[in-house]
Amino acid sequence: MKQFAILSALLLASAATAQDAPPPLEVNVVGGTNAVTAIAVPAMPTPAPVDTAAGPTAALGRQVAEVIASDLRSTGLFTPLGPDGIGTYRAAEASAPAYATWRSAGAAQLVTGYVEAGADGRITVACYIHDVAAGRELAHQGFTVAATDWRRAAHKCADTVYSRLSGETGFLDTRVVYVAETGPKNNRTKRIAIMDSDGSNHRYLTLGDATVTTPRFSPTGDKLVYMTTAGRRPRVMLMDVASGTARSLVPGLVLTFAPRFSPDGRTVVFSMAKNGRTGIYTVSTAGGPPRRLTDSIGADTSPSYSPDGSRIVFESDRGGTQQLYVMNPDGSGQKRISFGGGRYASPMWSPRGDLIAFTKISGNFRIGIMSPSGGGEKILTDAWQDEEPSWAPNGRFVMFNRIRQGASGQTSLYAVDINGGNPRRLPTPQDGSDPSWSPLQR
Amino acid sequence: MSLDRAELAGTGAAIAFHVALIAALSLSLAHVARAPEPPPMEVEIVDEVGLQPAAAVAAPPPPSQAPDQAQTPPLPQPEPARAPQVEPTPQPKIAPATSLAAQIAQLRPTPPRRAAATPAQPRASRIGADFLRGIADAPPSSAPARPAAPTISASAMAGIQQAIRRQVQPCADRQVNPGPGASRIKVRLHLVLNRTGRLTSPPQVIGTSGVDDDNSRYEERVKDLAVSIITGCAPLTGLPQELYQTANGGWSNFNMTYSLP
Repeated sequence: MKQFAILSALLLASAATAQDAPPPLEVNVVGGTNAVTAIAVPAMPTPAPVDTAAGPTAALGRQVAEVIASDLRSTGLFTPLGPDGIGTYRAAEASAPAYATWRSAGAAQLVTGYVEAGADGRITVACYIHDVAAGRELAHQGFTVAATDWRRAAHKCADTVYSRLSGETGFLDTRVVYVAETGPKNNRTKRIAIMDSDGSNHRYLTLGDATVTTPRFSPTGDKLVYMTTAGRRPRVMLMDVASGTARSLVPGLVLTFAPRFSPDGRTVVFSMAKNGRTGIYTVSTAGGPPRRLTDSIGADTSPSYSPDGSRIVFESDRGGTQQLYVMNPDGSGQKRISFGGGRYASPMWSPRGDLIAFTKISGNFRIGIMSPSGGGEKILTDAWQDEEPSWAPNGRFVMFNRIRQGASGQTSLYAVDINGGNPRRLPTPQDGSDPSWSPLQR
Repeated sequence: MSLDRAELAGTGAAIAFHVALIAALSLSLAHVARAPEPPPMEVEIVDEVGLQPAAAVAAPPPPSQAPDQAQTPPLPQPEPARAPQVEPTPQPKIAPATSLAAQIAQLRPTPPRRAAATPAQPRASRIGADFLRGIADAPPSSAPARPAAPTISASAMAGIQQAIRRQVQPCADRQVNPGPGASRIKVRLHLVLNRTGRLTSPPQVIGTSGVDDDNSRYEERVKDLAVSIITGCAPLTGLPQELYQTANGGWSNFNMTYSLP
């Protein structure tokens, strides 16, 4: 009876409320643009000027803003305003800026913050993102680093801004390894070099006494695999980035090349030429005998794992021309996926798993992407010779090397947004080729 | 545990009684709610703002108490006290009358008698004498009665929708598409405005649609864009004050659905 009474009351109440509030007015609005966003990045103030190992905090505030602005410009999504030629603010205003002022400056978004020195010699870079039109803060984050690592704090702030405003995961606090090339075209000195993704903190990891190719980061970014011709035969090496020490991954008198880590970092997949055949093998990074995955009549090479480790894409000329194939990680289920005109080479699976980047050879060399099933092919570049694609850790950009047509053979690193736009050249001290993008740094 | 015949009969009777009671109460409530929507009041409102009236009942006063009150503003305060006395008597007279329209036609030239005749007395009985007294007190002697529950016509609603869209469109056009597939996402906001067109509280996201595996990374950003549009373009100006809030809607609160082109 009690339940019945409650039910009755509910029925009566619903009958009464149903007659009250009328439905709200409905307004549909469609609008937007594909233009870049104007984002103000004024110099960051400091609450208390302090001299640090990297300079005064006031100077660091300007330098941090310069790096953030440069990073945001490199994404192709923003037109940064400042830090030069734009207003300033006090540290206390970082979380509550005068939106009207920045609105009148033409900014749609605003990055504020401050640089504060701690007693331990470290600095904290506070980073705030504001929607100027809406007059509200979108996100904030603080980064505490050694004063000399202020650039990393700036990259982290830029990643926070990029991620919040684009919906993508960050990729700016990353590093790049590549082959630095010097000397004449027919007698090049090749060294492995490493740098931040904006070209700063550049250094060499090998001496140049042997040719090196295809350096690839481990999933944690602390190790590399690459091929060297030291000892007069190509072989795959495993290097610890911090110490620079390297060891041969597959001992013996065999030719090994085109290495790449598995997603868990415990295995390296590579090509090995043996008894006149070139097949794909895996080997544990801890050592042990290689395991053969393919044994076709053609040359199988350039293997790359899918991010979940369940598939491997590779190139093979078993059908007469270079084409792309996928297979299971044990070598079973091999299947061709490229059927367009021309040849396909150097495939790499996207970190998102949804695309495969490749070099398409059809007259010129171009960078393209396709789905893992082979559909939706899209060519991203159009130059004389673009090759060796490498994905950014967020799967939105592809880095590659571009060789200029002519006697110089000049080669440079470029990155392109898979959604379109012009490739952007990365600054390197010398010519560069074979880039590999690191995972996002922790 | 089992019930004997008498208990079953008693339980059955109780259930039947309650069902009947609920039905009666529900019908009664539903009926009462319509009573305070006298169409003639809408005429005054719509005429003032120049928008199409919600109901095209202009000149002839409908058989309701409210218009009578509106047309007889000088009704002295003590007089409403007579209303309860009048109430019971007309009922038997109305029943044998020809038609409602005929009664209105008869009553129109003699306003004083309309008050007495009160063709809609059965409905008035639910409202009660206090309602009449309140209306008689409210308006000044020369002004038309202020409607308690005006309504908004479909065309007026469309006019407001267009006025809002026109004002927020420039802000929408400035939003930058974050990436491919983002245009499939639709964000629905609920917005509450005060009479000056300012937001009384932050926009509330009440739903998104069109989100899939390919564009889910852009969902939060498109929500941001939707919020930015309305906060960037508020306050909304030029909206008719008379239609801020009516019985069947208004611009005091509305839902905005935003998507990228």
